[in-house]
Amino acid sequence: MRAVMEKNVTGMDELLAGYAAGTLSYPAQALVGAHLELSGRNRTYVSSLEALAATGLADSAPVALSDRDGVLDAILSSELPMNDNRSSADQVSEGTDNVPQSLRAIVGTSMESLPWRSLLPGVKECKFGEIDGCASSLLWVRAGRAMPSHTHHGTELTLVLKGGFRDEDGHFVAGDVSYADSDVDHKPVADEGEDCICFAVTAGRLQLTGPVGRWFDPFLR
Amino acid sequence: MERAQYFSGLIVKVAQERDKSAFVELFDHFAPRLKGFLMKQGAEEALAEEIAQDVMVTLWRKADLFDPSKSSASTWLYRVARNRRIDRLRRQRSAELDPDEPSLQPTPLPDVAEEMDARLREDRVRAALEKLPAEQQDVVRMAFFSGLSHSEIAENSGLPLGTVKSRIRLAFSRLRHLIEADEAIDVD
Repeated sequence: MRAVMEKNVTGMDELLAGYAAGTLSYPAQALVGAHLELSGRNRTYVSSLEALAATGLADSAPVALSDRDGVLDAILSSELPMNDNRSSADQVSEGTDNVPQSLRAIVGTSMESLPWRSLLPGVKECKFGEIDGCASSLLWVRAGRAMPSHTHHGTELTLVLKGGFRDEDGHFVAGDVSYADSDVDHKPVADEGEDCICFAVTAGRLQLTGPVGRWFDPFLR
Repeated sequence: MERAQYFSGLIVKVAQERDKSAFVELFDHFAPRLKGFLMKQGAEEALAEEIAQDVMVTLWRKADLFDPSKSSASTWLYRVARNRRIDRLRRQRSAELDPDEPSLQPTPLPDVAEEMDARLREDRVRAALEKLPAEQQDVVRMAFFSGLSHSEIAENSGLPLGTVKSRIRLAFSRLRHLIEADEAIDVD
């Protein structure tokens, strides 16, 4: 695990910087957001980068709004919605339906009720289509089973949401991000004792140079 | 940073007392800066203005989510603006996708970072940036404050793209070391 993090530390630091700047592809942004929710490892670094990016806002030259009075009036006279502030934070619960907030716009709130498709005995998948040239999917692997060998074209980021898996790069548990190149032949095996659920973001085949370049050029738009 | 504390205090007043004059002061300071910042990052004027308005609506309605011990006013507003911009862009692109895709559920992108316990200290991270060699500082500034891509930075600075990329890589890895070294010393 440690070796993996160090091996990919360059890519990971840039990925995190891209998250702080808000310049990643949408699914990669969501994956990093979920990583930060599940693991404390990079929170300080990202918070600091956000504070740095925010100094750009504080120092930015003001540009007057076209209708300052109208906008202010509309906001101050609007009805305040009751009780909606803490509700989403309170929804965090135990179990398989504990979808990180950052992934809810893609995955929804319930993993159980998704249209899962069986790939192999003990392995199912749910695809969410492509946004920004990056495809995202959930993979649910029963405890102790091997995941299907990866057939993706291009780079893939995998975030463990639940359980854990082991491959030739090491052991990955909830909150860990694994990075795989197309030429890496992965044979991950889910840990015994608990099903493993992962969120994966893969660069689309057609825009191989775009999204891949984007992940490791996080500032590229 | 007295000024930063002053703005934090205004947000707390909005949260606790629905203080309209505090809100107007925050609005007049931050809304035009947000608009300018978003335009500098490449948003068209109309979109920059809409996002700035959205951020101000969030500030008025959800000021109680702001925790002055965890972030400054500008960092909090920066995050809200960043997430709002991403959400807007996603919705525009989503129009071209299959409407039955589960990814099109209209859930707003949450402000993850607000939940975090990491303390933000802008003066410290600024100091960390100041410790970088000048050429690394420059690329970080261009990347973060102007939202420029690697190739735009290369164009602006006249440097080869490979040099820009390696400077950015070095800069972020050194920043991490400086920030984490700071954290290790500062045990509260």
